[in-house]
Order: sequence, then C-alpha cells, then structure tokens
Amino acid sequence: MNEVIVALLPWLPLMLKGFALNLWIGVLAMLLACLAGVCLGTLQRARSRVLRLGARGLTQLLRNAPWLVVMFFVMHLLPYEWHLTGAVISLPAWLKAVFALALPAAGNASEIVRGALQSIPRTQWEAATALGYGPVAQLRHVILPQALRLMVPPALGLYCVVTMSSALASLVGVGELLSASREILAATARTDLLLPVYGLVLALFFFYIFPLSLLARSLERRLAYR
Amino acid sequence: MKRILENPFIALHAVSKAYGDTPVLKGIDLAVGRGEVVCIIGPSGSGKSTVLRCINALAEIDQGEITLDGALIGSPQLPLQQLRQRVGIVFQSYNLFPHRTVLQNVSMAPVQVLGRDRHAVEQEARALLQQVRLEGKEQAYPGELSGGQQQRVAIARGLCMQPQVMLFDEVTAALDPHTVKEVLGVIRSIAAQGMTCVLVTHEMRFAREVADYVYFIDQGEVVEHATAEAFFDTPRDPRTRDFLDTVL
Repeated sequence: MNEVIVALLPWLPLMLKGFALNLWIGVLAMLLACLAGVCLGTLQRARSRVLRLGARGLTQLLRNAPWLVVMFFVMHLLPYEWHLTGAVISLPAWLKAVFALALPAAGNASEIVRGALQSIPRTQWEAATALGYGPVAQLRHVILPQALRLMVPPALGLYCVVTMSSALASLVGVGELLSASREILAATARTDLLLPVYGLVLALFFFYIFPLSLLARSLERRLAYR
Repeated sequence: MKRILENPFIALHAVSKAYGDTPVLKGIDLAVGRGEVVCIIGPSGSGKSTVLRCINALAEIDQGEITLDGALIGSPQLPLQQLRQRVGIVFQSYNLFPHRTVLQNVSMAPVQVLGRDRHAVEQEARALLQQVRLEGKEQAYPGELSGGQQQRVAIARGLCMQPQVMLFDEVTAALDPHTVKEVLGVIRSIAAQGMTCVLVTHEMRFAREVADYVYFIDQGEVVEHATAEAFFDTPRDPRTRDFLDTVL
C-alpha cells in the first residue's frame, strides 16, 4: 500500500493538471451551452411558427445526439487552424472538445429554459396583462424572475454531466486527466498501479461532482414555492 | 328588451365571441351605470366569466362593441393599457406573483406600469392592506397566506391601480366557506364606497344583498335582467326560475 502511494506521488501534479483541464473544458462548454440554450429555449416559445419549429428541431437534434459521436464529429469537422484575413487562429484540440461538449449540452439547456418558461402558469401572464404590463415587461418583471429559479437546479445538474463528459475528450487526444492517467500507466508499466490510478481518477471526479449534485438537490427544494 | 341607460359607464352592444367553433357569447347587451354594482349570474359554462374578460380585453371579441365611459375599447381614445389601468380585475385563482411579497404584489404595477413614485405607492398599498385587514402581512409571500388572505391581497392589488371599475370573477369559488365571508365583507365595503363593480358570482344571497342590478346569462345569451329585488322576487323567465330553484 505504502509502496503504491510512493510510486504514484511523483505523478500527482500531472494528474491534477489534467483534472484542471477537465474543469476548464467543463466550465467553458457550460457557458456556451447556457448562451445557446437561452436563445434556443426562448425561441421554442416564440410566436412565429417558423422560429418555434426551427428551434424545436435543432434542440431535439442536439439533445438526442450521442455525446461521443458529436465529439468525434466535431474533432474531424473543425480544422486545426483558421485563416482569417491574414491572421491565423489555431484551434487546439481542447477548444474543439469545448465546442463538442457545448453542442449536446445546449440542446439540454434549451429544454431546461423551455420547460421553466412553460411551467409558469398562463394565469401569471394574464394577471400581469390585466395590470397593464406589456409583453416585454411581463417577461422581465413577472415571468423570468420565476423561471430563473426553476432553471438553476437542472442547470447545475447539466453542468455536472458536462464536467463528467469532459473525460470523453481523452479519446480524441486531449491531455486531460484520463489521458494523463493512461500515459502514466504506460510509462510505469506496472499493472499493480492500474486500479489505484483509475481509482484516483474516479475519486477526483466524484468528490467534485457529488457536492454539486447535493447542492442542486437542496436548491431544488429550497427554491420551490409553497 | 335591452337595458337603456342614459350614460352607461360600461356598455356591451351585441357582443359575440367564439372559441374555435364553439360560440361562447351570442350577442350580449349589457349596461352598467357609474357607481353601480352589477351581478352576472348563471350556470357554469354560460359565458359569464368571458363577459368580464372581454370588458378588460383579456379576451378579444368577434363582433359587437364595448365602451367604457363612452370610449370604444381598443380605439385610440382608449388604448389597452389605459383601459387596464381604469378597469381592475380579481380572478378566481388569485394569480398573485409568488416571487414577490404581499406589499410588492400590491405596489409593483403602479410603479412599474404607471411610473408613479415608489414611496407614495407603498404608502397607499399599506393603507389598502389595512383596509382589507391584512396589516402585518406586508412582508409575507403569497404562498404563506390562506386562500382568503391571498384573495384579499389580489383585491388590494387591483385597487392600488386606482381603477374606476372593479371586475370580480367568481372570487370566492375557490375558497372554503368560512373564508368566503371575509372576502365578501371586503367587496361589500368597496361597493359601499361607490366603486363601480361587476361581479360574476355563485353567492346568490350576497348578490341579492349587494347588487343594484342583475343579469342572468345562459348559453351565451342574456336570459333576463332586472333590479336585484325584482330579479330575485319575481323572476319571469322559466329558465331563471329553474336556475334560482336549484341554487337557492
């Protein structure tokens, strides 16, 4: 046991650095997903039929695409670098992984937004109308403040899923935690380290995600009315 | 057979409305005088609530016209926002804003819609809450109140817009019997202050006591209308008699 710890210790900084990349990818992907999700989700409730159906179709497409397939797809679809009128913008693999995770997450975020807006009873719009609020003011003063509370817990849950899924990036050559672990195992060539290394990977993810999902659950209870 | 008032405050002329293929109102004529309390009664699904919703343009009418103090609603003389400031409505299901305190529920629209001074409005809101006997509940959230209390907040919220007419849409239908009394008491005092009121209600005894004039609507038509006394004491139409027999 002690011997295993001593053997692993020198590799720990590498693993933590890998995990930091997982977290960074997760946060960025979630931010993108939220932005796209708010737009798509609101458009799913738009008055215009074309916008509504378009947003709904895109949402379903994104939401029902397997995350790993999207990951491979984006990796091979996006170029390594972008030539923009002289300037060269390079797209490192980790950034492509961010986009790849953001796409299916955006589909889920869109549904969270749509669901929250939809669960505000029609009578709330009506009461605001009867008090003289215009459509934008209704959304701003009455509907959104209520809907946002409903969105927070499921969004936190989605963030957990996105963070966990960042490990998929290891399959397309991003040097995150899982990739680092495989390299360590290859370098040490010791089979007795297999379980401890993967166990550590599991523990890192678990102790980051678990408190968050607990928080999501307690928020869900606390933010509910009545 | 339609009621003729010289200067009706609210007047409906041959108002028709359908939801899809289902006609809800079939040529309703109705008049309410200034300061009057008018009750609309009738069986469920007769279109009573739709009449109220048409008066403040929550529901659009297909045919006919509705005027408020002589101005056609929706016309340039009476744009919808002005209409809704002048006509308050209280719903059966209260429809308070659950994310705002009682005081905010009452005071937010005058500040946010009419642009009035927050301080002055809150002063008035407190006075109104006192009038509906809810002093001390200013900082509570709607979810913490009983149905009767919520409904009284909703009434105060309507009054805080300083409307000229209050519409009450079956406001006691969702309440248990002993809280009905406290809400009816508040409506009684509002009516006594001279506010023009139109009530859709199933509380026949209350209608008889508080109403100046009564309309009986069935299947989207006005069957009978008369002063409260005449209506309840000497109903003429057999349909009215049947209805009164079943509810009284």
